Amino acid sequence: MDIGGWLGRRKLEKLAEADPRFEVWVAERGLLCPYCLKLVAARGADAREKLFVHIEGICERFAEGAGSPEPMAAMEERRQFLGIREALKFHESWSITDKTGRWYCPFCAKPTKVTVDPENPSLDKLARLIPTHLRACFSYRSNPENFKPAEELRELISRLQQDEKLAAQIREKIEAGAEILMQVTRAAKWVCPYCLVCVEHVSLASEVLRRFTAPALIAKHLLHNCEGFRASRTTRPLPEVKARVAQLDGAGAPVPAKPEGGEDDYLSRIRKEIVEIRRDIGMNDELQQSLKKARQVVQQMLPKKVPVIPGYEIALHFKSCLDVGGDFYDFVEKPGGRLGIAVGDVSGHGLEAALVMGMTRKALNMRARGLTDPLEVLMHANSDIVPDLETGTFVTCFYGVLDPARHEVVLARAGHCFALHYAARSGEVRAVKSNGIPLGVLTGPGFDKLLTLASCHLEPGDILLQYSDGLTEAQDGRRELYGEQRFMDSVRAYGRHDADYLVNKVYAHVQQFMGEEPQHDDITLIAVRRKPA
Amino acid sequence: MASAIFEEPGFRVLKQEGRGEGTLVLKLEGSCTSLDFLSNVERIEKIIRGLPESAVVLDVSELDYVNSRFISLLVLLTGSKKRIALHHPSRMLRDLLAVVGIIDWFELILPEGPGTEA
Repeated sequence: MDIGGWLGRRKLEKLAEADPRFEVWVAERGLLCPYCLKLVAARGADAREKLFVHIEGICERFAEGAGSPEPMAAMEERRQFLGIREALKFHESWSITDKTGRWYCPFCAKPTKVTVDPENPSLDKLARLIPTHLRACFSYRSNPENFKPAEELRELISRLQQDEKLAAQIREKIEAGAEILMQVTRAAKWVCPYCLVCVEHVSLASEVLRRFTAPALIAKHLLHNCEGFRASRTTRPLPEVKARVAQLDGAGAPVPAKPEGGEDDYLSRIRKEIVEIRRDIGMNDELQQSLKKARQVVQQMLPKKVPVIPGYEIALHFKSCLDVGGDFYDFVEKPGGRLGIAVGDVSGHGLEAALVMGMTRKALNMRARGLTDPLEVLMHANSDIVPDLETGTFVTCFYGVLDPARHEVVLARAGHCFALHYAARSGEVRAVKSNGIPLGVLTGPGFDKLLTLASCHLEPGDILLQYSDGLTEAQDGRRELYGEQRFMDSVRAYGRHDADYLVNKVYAHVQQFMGEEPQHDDITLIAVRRKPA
Repeated sequence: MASAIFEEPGFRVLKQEGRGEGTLVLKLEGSCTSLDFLSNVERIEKIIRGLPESAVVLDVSELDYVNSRFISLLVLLTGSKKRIALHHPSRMLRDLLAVVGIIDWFELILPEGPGTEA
């Protein structure tokens, strides 16, 4: 080595001393070059020397000291990739797939979304896909070194497949209404028809539990704990199972696990829990403090992006006022390319308004997914939330459905501001009027009868706008309201432009009007524009 | 291997072995409507708060009947400054967290593959 080479080596050694990127090992097979990310195979004390020889002599990225090492994150990613590739080569348990090519994780023993093409199995491709599973794999994250040996993994997979197969059969039978499998106690606990034991952790109380949770738990019980199932795969006679349920209940007839209305039941459970949460919060200062933040989080959870509808522009402007506002909005994509649009405003403030807002949005979303008629959506949502509202709390709401095939918006309004229609041909703006009182004021027919439907046909360039009263009630320094007239003038002035430009200009106009005055309420503005021909 | 840090017939909290550095994995099993849970929420909270790890993964995949008391427990645990992750939360639990507005406070580890969503 000449003097130049010696000096270069000293410089490199000094650099490596302070930089952990020169010490990245790949499964004890060698060090990773921090410049070109290649594995320099070597073991033990020689590894560092071999790395330096590689860097000085072969590595093009080093470029005689002009290059710079890659970031640690890139090196970690490369190390994981090479480590996985090594594991795939040398450990059988890393290469287990089923007939369809699904790769089984050697940590959690579950089938993953990673698939191997049996015609063209590529180690590199597999090593690149596996980290997507490992990032979410609970067992891997708990201990990345502890993968299962192939034999144990195969046994676990076979047991898992057996469990899944039986669970699928049970799910089918439950869905077909097999009474023998649906015997529960008054406390909604399942009674096994094979061993007559009350299995506490199996519940059939809701559609979700019946479809998703219970079949797997029942299968687990039958295959691993049930003496009756092990002895004979025949259930006891139904009267005997019913008698056992009656016995467990103390006396009286058994309570069958009859479906109780799917989503309705689910929603009512959430409602019940919200009432309880409210009570808990009232009793606990720490909870109260913690949940003060929750309201802001609820608003942050509102959709950030607007949906894309061919032939239409949709623009949104939402400016939250964190002290007292209660605005929310939602978009629900429906079959046939239709789009449900909801805008609402909860009276009251603080955590109460946050809970009501979250609840109303959830109820509207669930109803909008299942129903087509905006009137029905609002009627059902009203029934859903009325029991949860404290006296004096109500929600004004707009709900409309855009049908892009017919270029029509059908809408209903529960005490909310009128929607506005901008007609491109005439440049005029009009209110789309319909009747309705806010959600939570009256229940049943009292609310339903007052609700009317309206519709609006959109010609090319036409716009439908929905907004909250925070916009029209924005105040200037003299306490004068921005008002509907200024709003309509503003829409008229910018209606020829695209939807994004329009909502930004309208909001800028409101801000200009308010001057130095603070914003007292949330402002929501949604514009739906049919693209000009 | 797992050892119980709280165990009653209707509810137990298991400490999973083989955890990553600074992260603790606790498996919660049983029903949130059982008296064993309801009458011991404060005790469970204190036990978990007292653990030295700064990040806790709560495996709730085998937890039944999540309810307001469980939500309260989660809220109080976030006050402990520990990072809390929920492993396989049910749809009910996720919806409740969303409605209350605290879903962003937790890292959610969701199940993969068809048919595993509960």
